[in-house]
Amino acid sequence: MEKLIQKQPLASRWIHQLPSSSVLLDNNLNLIDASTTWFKTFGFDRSKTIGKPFLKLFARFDESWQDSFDYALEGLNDIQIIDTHIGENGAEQDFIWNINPWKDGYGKSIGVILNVKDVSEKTALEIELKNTQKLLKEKGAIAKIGSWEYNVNNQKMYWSKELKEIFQIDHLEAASYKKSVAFFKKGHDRNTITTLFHTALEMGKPWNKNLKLTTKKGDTIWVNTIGRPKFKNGKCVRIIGTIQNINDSYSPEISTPAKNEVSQDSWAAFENLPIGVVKIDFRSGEVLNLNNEILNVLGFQKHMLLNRNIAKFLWFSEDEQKQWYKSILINKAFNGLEKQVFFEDLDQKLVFRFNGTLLPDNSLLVSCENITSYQNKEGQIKAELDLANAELDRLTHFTHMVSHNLKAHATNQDLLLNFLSDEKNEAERKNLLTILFKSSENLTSSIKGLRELVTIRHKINEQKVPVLLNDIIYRTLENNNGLVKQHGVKIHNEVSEKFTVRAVPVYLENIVSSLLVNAIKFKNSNKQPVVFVSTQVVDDYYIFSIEDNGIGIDLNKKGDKIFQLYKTLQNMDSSSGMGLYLAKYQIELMGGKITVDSTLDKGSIFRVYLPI
Amino acid sequence: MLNKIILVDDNAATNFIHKKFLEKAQGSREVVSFQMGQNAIDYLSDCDNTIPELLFVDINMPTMDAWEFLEHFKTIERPEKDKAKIILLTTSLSPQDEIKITERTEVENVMTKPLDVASIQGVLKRYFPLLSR
Repeated sequence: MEKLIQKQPLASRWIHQLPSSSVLLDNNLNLIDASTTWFKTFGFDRSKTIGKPFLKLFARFDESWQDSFDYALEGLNDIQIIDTHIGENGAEQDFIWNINPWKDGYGKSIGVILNVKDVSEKTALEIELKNTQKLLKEKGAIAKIGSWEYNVNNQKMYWSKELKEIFQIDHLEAASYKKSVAFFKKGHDRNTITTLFHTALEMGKPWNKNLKLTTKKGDTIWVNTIGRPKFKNGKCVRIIGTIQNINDSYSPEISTPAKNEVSQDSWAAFENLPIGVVKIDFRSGEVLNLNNEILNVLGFQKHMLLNRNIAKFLWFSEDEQKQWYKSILINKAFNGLEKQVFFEDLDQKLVFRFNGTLLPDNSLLVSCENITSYQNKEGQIKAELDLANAELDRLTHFTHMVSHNLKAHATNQDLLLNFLSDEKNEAERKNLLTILFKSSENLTSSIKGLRELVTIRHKINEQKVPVLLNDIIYRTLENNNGLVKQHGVKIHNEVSEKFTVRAVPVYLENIVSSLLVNAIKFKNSNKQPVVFVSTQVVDDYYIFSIEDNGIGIDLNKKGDKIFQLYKTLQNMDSSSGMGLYLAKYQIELMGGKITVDSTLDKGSIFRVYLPI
Repeated sequence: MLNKIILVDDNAATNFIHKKFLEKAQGSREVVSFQMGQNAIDYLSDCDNTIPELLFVDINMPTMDAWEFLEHFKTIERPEKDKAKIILLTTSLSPQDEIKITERTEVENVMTKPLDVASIQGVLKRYFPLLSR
């Protein structure tokens, strides 16, 4: 063995120093070395263990371990084995063994690395008994789960500490198969467990059953028993299992008459179903039984609902009652009844879907699913669809306007040119030329505006950056200096020097410019035009407002029109371009909105909201 | 030949062109054109001006569109105005406009612009059959 260490000097050095519990095996599954922790945990002497065949170290390691190691040697990663180690003192410890291939620098398997994690009993059971996983998770904190193991060869039984607590026996009491069976209630329950045990032993059939158990102190409780046979060389060598006290959440004897053993039995299957199930007397509406899930969903304790009328806690309208009553009479079932229920304690609306089947004993078995999240998702998708449709409408509108606008200009010019070529009168020719020039100007400005729109549609992902609003305002005023002077507009800029918004600068400039031009264009001819620019921060928005004393807008009549494309497109005087339509579109692209308040003859206030 | 036709279109070139064609088609003794609907309404409300037999109104206009124009036209307190025929003009019909038109009984027809001599003659023949005789 000294040779081995020399052969793998690096590996042995690091494995031994690892803080985790790790083992290194060679190709023949002989132990090369392990960490100090590992030797300590399993009580091995390092010098006497190195070089030994690993599988021989533990008596409980069966052929499934050999298989797992072979897989690892073939290159399979992350094989997990759950293992229960019973120490000298009878104390039980659970471990997860992570098995991975150990490869050399060329990717060739040269051995196996084992990593051992000490896990609490609950975690181990969770992985081992996947079917009961949900139950364990839900009830984990309060669950009283005991585990047991039966060795077929020496017929030895092992009980965990928890199981002894369930049996209400002393911790030192020795376990046996006979004693185990005797704890089950005489008659049906004891017969059942015996049958289950023997079926597992002979046919390898696992079980999961709720049965009654009488503790040493004489209490009769409901327990969930699970058993799994384990095989070696085609022979059952041991059976492992759990017994869980489920008395608090499961007590069918209250509602089910003793003679009805069969239906009680089938009820056990519903008990831990992830779907809420309730059994109702069809005629009276009395609740005969409920499973755990429905209690979870409704937030009630079982005793609060049992033998009460269903109407006490789930209210159905007359129409709904008729609907399912009719369906039951005809089909002996009803399907897909959806109902919204408001829970005051949760301040939450939940949506349930009910399905029901009438049983031969005139009881109604109803499943109840919480489909709130599906419904929310449905709403979400619908909203997205609406958004897409709105965009589609906008695009249709846009295309329509483009064709409309360009066609008008083009045909006009064509016709005017025809007139011009036929016209002999000099004065009329001059007149025609003036009109042609004007028309050509209009066409150019239309195309410019359309190009802007198309560009925006392409550059939807322009980046928002912090922008000083005043910079934009100054620049806009500069660009429109002529217009401002021509109309003698007085601008009151109340925006503070430091007011910064998050925006796409080009958009913001166009927005401010459009609003300013708009304010000037619709000035009141009897008054000196005055424009106020101011800012606010409200909730999650920066707001800047542009207020004028112009002619105002009759919002009742035009409120929905002022931001529409065709309203501005046709009347291209000077710099208006696409005006408010474009501004609104850009604001929306930046996640904001624009509102307008206006009084005829008094003026308008446009407010631009940009998200903070 | 009609006595008076009114053109309402915000595009000056279009008005000019229509005026030319109306002359060529010998459609009317007088053609009055407006670029703003409000000005046309003001003109029509003035009792000094006779009500035209025919109006061509562009649907898409910036300050007052054809629909608003029709609303205002209805309120003019001159009973003789109801005899006037109204034809709407457009370069292409938007889906919304198509719906609106079916709701408007006072509108005789919608035509695509620009009009030409033939289409003007067609209008006169159809809506004023007595004239051509």
